[in-house]
Amino acid sequence: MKNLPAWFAFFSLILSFSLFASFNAFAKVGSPPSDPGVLLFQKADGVIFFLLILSFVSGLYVIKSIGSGALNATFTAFLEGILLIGLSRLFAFFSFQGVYQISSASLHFWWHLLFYLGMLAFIWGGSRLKDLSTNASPEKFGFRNQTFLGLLLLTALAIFVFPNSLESALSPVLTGSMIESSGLLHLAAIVLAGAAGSTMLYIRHHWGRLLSVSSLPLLAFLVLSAVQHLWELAAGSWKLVVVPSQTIERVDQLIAIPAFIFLIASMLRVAQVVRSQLRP
Amino acid sequence: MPEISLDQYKSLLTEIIKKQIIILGPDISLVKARNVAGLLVASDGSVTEIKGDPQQALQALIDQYVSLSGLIVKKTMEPLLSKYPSLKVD
Repeated sequence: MKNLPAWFAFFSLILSFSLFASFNAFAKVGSPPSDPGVLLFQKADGVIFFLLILSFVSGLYVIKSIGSGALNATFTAFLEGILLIGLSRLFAFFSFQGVYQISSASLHFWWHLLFYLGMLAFIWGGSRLKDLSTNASPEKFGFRNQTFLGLLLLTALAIFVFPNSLESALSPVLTGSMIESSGLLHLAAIVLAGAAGSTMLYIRHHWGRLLSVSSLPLLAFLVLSAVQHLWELAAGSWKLVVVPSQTIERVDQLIAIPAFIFLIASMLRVAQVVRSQLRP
Repeated sequence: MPEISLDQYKSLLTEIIKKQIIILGPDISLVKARNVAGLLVASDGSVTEIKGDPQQALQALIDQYVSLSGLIVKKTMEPLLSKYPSLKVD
């Protein structure tokens, strides 16, 4: 298939739209509309999903413009990273709506796994760029990329399918464990976001206009993602800031919205540069 | 140092464009190559004709790609340019 990356991204787009539709359906059923706090919470999540879909569409345009170029391995990985981070938020949302009957410790475990998968996709995308600069015959969107990105998607799918059935085994192990109390899940998220961020710095220093325009907004997105986890680590795990759990979630959203605005800015800027270059 | 013939320039420019097609895809790579004055480029990236100074065309082509893709382009071109040690490019 000549336009495999575009198909790959298109499939992800359809998936994200379906998830957005189910998000709205659950949001309508899940809570009484009279509670302004809950409504605000849902609206903020709705905005975040909307921003995710917009950044996806821009990324899709970039992938389509590059066509069969090896650079598409990077953009496809970045798009999958966006999708997986969106899925991590959707998983948490589904849990709050009662789709998963799981403990708070299990919820944190699963959605963090999804976030890690997203960060791995970003790191993979960055490593493809390094490959382009060092390898005499750069690899197109071939078997290795398909296998790695496919495995990430399959793992994400499994995370959506198995939580209820694994709950009886997983929850007793996680609840009150070192993993929960030390904030290890947040720390790992911060480390992975840092690793993905260093990839953006590499892009900024080595690539020209085509990619460097996206590196700073993407870096800002990753830094804010790390800040989200730092906040949850300080307030949720280490209790350095004592606030109700709802406040923790809302501050989390306040950080997430600008993060996703930076994300869409990064994709729009690359799409803009690509469009300007295609004019003879 | 031996002089580089016009055919050798054509061959080098073709290799550079084809390398960029692999990385950036055909659409962007061909538009950038066709922006270079005096260069006629076929749809597969082959340079069919160079009007004017081929050395200038080479430099202009490299500048087109470097402005878009930065230092990476220079690195990817190094093995191609090393075949012609007498060439001077910035």
